[in-house]
Amino acid sequence: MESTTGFTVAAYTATFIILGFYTWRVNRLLARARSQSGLR
Amino acid sequence: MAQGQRIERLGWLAGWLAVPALGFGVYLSIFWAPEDFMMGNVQRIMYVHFPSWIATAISYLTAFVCSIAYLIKRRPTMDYLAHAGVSVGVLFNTTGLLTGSIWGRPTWGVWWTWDARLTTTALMLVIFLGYLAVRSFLEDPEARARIAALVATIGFFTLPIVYQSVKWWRTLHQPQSSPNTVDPDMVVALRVMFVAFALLAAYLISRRYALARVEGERERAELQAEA
Amino acid sequence: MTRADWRRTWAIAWKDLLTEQRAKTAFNAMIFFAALTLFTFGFALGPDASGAGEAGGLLRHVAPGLIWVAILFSGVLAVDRSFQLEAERGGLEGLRLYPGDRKAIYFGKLIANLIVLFALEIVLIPVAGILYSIDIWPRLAGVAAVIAAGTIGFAAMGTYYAALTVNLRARQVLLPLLLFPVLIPVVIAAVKGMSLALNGDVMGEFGSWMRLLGAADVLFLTICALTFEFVLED
Repeated sequence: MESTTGFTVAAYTATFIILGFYTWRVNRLLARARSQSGLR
Repeated sequence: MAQGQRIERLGWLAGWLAVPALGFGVYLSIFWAPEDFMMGNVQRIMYVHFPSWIATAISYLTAFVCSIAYLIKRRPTMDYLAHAGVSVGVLFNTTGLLTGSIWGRPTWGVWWTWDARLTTTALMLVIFLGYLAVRSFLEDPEARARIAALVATIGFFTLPIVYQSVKWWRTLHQPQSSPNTVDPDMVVALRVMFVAFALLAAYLISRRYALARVEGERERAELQAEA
Repeated sequence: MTRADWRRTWAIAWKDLLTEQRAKTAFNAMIFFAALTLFTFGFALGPDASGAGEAGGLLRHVAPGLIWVAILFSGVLAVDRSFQLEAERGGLEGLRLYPGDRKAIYFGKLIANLIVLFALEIVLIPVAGILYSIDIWPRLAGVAAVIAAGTIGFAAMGTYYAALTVNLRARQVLLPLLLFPVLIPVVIAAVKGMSLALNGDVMGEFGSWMRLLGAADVLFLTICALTFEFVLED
């Protein structure tokens, strides 16, 4: 049986990379949009 | 606009709660929960797979409700929130499909099966990617909000029919399988991850909503300046 | 919907069909495209699939699916055109000025689309029968029932989405992208139904699949008609 732990690591890593990237990107776009509009 | 601030404040709260919840949940999932007797460590993928679906459902449901609310009341807040719901929904839809596929490979030997749930969720992704595509091609804010709301509403409505028909289509071939989470410790870890992902979804929706609102207000100001 | 509304429905359908009939080129192109699709499938599935004997059964076996894919692809062209005349004259302005219930416009366009699609299928089915060596004639009733029910579902959603996307720049890509996922129940049931109608129904499932098709049709028609006024708004 192939190393099943590898699949688990892949799944968790991929998930959190994707979630992390989205979190980072949405916050960055928001900060930039706000500074452009002069809000807050 | 007070409603917008309330959404953003709740979002911040959800975000701050999400971090420890996720940390605790991942710890439980990877180290604390027992290993599955039959599947081994691969089964731990379920602690990110099923919570992804919870987050997907929350997000799309938000989009659906807000789309209908927009069609009735025409308040821009509802459009921004619907957009945020779809965006975050697509995100978790993707992680759900990805983890499902990765889980399936060592378990069933294939990257994909045509089982009803998997197929329906893949179709959900297509429907809501279509929503985002339609938005990107419309410049008039009101037309965009209205047409997007209709795409979301109709698309969401057809999901139960899609699911049922795929299920009937498939049950001739194989029964649907659910992993048995009989072990109570597994249930604990799963529940913590459900909460953590739900909180993360709420936080991300609030941030995406805030972005949509800033962009929407700027767009409106620009259009008024042109007029 | 009052009687006046129904009169408007038929007026719209009649006008659209007359226009379509006068400019036969578009319809001919659609038929040609559909036939070509069926033809290409024959090549794509390999020479053995078409012959007699064991391997020859493949084409006959998958024929219902191929037929419905051909209907979908060429049908999208048909449905796409149904609001193009108005779009070329500057969006749905003209339609918005119509008095009365908006549903009349939806049903009018729907009926016109249905007739065009049926005309398409009347040519398509015999061609498929010839190309895939299927004897359709003795089983015509079942096949016709499936075609009718499936086409209604397709036209119901197709007409709606065509109106929804009429002003979008990338309409010809977006229309199928939006339409096909929601049509999956219709495709599943129609292919299954046609397969049972052509190949025999050992377990008596035909009725269940037709009921699914019928339910989908009713649901689609209802939700599309009820929300059509939102589609037409400015």
